Parts: sequence; C-alpha cells; structure tokens
Amino acid sequence: MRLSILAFGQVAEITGSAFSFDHVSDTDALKLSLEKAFPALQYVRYTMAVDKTTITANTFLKENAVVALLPPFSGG
Amino acid sequence: MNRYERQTALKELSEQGQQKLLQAKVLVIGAGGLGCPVLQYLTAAGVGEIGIADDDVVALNNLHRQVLYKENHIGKLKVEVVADVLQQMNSTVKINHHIARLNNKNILPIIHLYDVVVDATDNIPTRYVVNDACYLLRKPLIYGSILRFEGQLAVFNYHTNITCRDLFPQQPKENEIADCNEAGVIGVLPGIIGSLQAAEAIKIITGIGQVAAGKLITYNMLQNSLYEFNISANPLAASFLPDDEKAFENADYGEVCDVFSVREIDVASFEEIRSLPGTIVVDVREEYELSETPTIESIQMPFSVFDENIELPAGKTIVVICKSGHRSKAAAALLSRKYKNVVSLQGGFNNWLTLNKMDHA
Repeated sequence: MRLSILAFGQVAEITGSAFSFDHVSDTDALKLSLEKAFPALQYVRYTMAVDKTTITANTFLKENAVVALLPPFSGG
Repeated sequence: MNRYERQTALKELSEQGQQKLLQAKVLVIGAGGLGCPVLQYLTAAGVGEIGIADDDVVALNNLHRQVLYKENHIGKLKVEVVADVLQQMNSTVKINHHIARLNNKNILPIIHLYDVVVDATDNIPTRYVVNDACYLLRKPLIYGSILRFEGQLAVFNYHTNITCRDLFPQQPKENEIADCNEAGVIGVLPGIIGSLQAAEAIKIITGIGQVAAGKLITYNMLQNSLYEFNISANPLAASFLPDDEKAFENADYGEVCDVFSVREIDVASFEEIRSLPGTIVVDVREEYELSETPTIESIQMPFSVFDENIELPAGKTIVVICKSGHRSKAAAALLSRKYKNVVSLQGGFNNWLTLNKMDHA
C-alpha cells in the first residue's frame, strides 16, 4: 500500500515533484513522516489536498490516495 | 468587416456575448508579467472599460517576460505606457489609469468602479489586500501567480464564497515565499498564466463555459502537467477575513519588502570588514544548512523565523548573509526599516566558498 504524493513549487524543490510514500493512516501522520524524511519541509508552508480536494482538518487516507502538497506562490 | 466577427462567429459567444464584453468593466492590478497578456487580450476582445493599477516603471530586466514593453519604454511608468499601447490597439476601449500601489487604505473606491478584478500582482501583502477587498465588495477575483516554471490560477467570489483565505487562511510572511525576482522566471510562463486569467475574465463576463470558481489549477511548464483541485471552505478563513470596510482599512497587511534598495557587498569587502568591531554579521540560513560551511562569527537568525525587530547594537554595520544572497537581501530589506547601515553579502556563502577555495588553491 503506497500513497502517491504530488508536490509543487518550493515543496517540490525539497521533495521532488511526484513520488510514492509508505501508507499512513491520516494526513497528520503523513505530515510528520514527510517532515522526518525531508526536514526542510518544516520551514515551508503548504496546504494539502487529498484526492483532488483541499483539506482543512486531519483527514483519513484511503489506500492509494493521492495527496498534493500545495505551497502559495506570489510571483507575477 | 466587423472587428469582432471572428469571435462572434463562435455560437457560444455570438453578438450577445460581444455586447456583454463591450459593457464590461475590468480592473487589472499589476502591469507586469501576468498583467501584460491579460490587458492585451481583454483590450483586443473589446472589453468596454479597463482599469490598470500599478506604480512601477519599466526596467530592462522586465523585457524578457513583459512583452508589451519595448526598449524605449525603460524608465517610464508602466501604466502610461500600457494605456498608450492599448489605446493604439483598440481605440474604442476606455482605459483608466490608477497610478498607485494599491493598499487597504486606497483600494476600495477603485474596486467599486469595476465588475471583475484580475490579480496580476507580484507580492503577498497586495494579494491579501486585493483578496479581502474583493470579498468585502463581492467582486469576482481572478487570481494568478507564478514561481519558476509553475503557475497557479483560481477564481474567488464567483458563485461561491471561496477566497484565497480558504487555501491559506493566514497571510504568509514574505520570508516564507520566494518571488520571481529572487527565484527567476521564464517569460512564457506568465504569458500562459496571464492568458488563462484573461480567458476566465471572458468566460465570467459572457457567461460561457466553466469558470474555475472555487478551484485551484496548477500548471507546470517543464512537465506539461495541469492539475485541478477543489478548494474546500475553510472554517479558519472567517477569523482572518475583515468583518467590514472599517476593519479592513485598519488591518495591518505589512509592507511590501523592497529588496531592490538593499546595498550588496562583495566577498572581498566582506572579508575586510567582517572581523572589525564595527561590524555585525547576521546569518539567516536554516539550522540544517550551517554544517555546509566553516563557522564564522555571526548572530544566527534562520530566515523562517526571522524577526525584523531583533535587538542589535546601534551604530554598527550589519552584514546579512545566507547561502546564495537572496534571503539575506530580503532580510536586509526588513532590517533596513529599523537600522541604518544594513548590507547583504552578494552571492552569499556560495560566492564566499568559491573565492576562499581559489585563495587556497
């Protein structure tokens, strides 16, 4: 069981843009595991989307869920 | 021959849609990389009234991406150049100048004049000002932003109550985000994202197609990838949105960090002054970066937790350093508000290491 992670912007610069990751039960656990694997992530702000919808609270992760890590951009 | 016959020939648009375009009033905030294509396409399409808000002048390093400008425009106010170019492009469009950097004190009366707002700005404080103003006045807001080879597009306040604060409720600090002056950008990317913003404006005005309302669309130029996300209503958003116009005008959105006015010193000058008693070195790298270089005497203040109100001894020269010289420039800009002699090490430790290696070779 793996999760698919899509990363964008500054997050992708740290993690790479698409990768698979060991399944964990929910998004809080995922955030912790990701920050363990990529310590620099602690310093980047991002919002998470699970299966194409942004989340606003800890969210259960199904098998094979796709999680996106979306940082804000400001350039124009 | 009719000027718009090739677009009115589209049965979805037709003469009816063209009439809506001719009566529409659109405000474009920012006449830079995103703003240029938005302004050009909306003018060409025959939007009746277009407002341009910007306070910047054309610079040589704008020309690779802001393709509306020519070399002889360098040094001129963007708003004036754009108005002139657009008027030559379509003399029937009414162009309004707003030569100002919009902030929470001056934006509301301007936004009142328009039906649709396009956020083509390049900094976080202004983006949150624009977001909150459009929320208060219930104006559809077409958001576009870019970083390196990626762009984001979203539409707020249009058939939904979703705004930027549903994505990021609290305004990020400028030091949490790299902008394209620092991070670099290829000209065609704002061209693509700005064109997408213009397309959303045309769809909103004419009522055709599906608008990216309450959605975040991301585009990656290197990978040709396009993703769409539904933005969920965030319960935290309400606590950060202003309650009314008065609360909005009294809120603190912070200043735009002016990295261009920061003085930089080269490695040779840095080596000369860094050990002097009149010099303080502030290292803004993160903890995990510190092991990459030999230790030099400095105050450590990682950029992610940087506090511009840090107490430093008065009357000293403050040299801010980081790995590549970008974050140090932003931090120096912040420190300059309180301290006089603040400089940034050009090229950061990368340059310092290169030159020190050469010395030892």
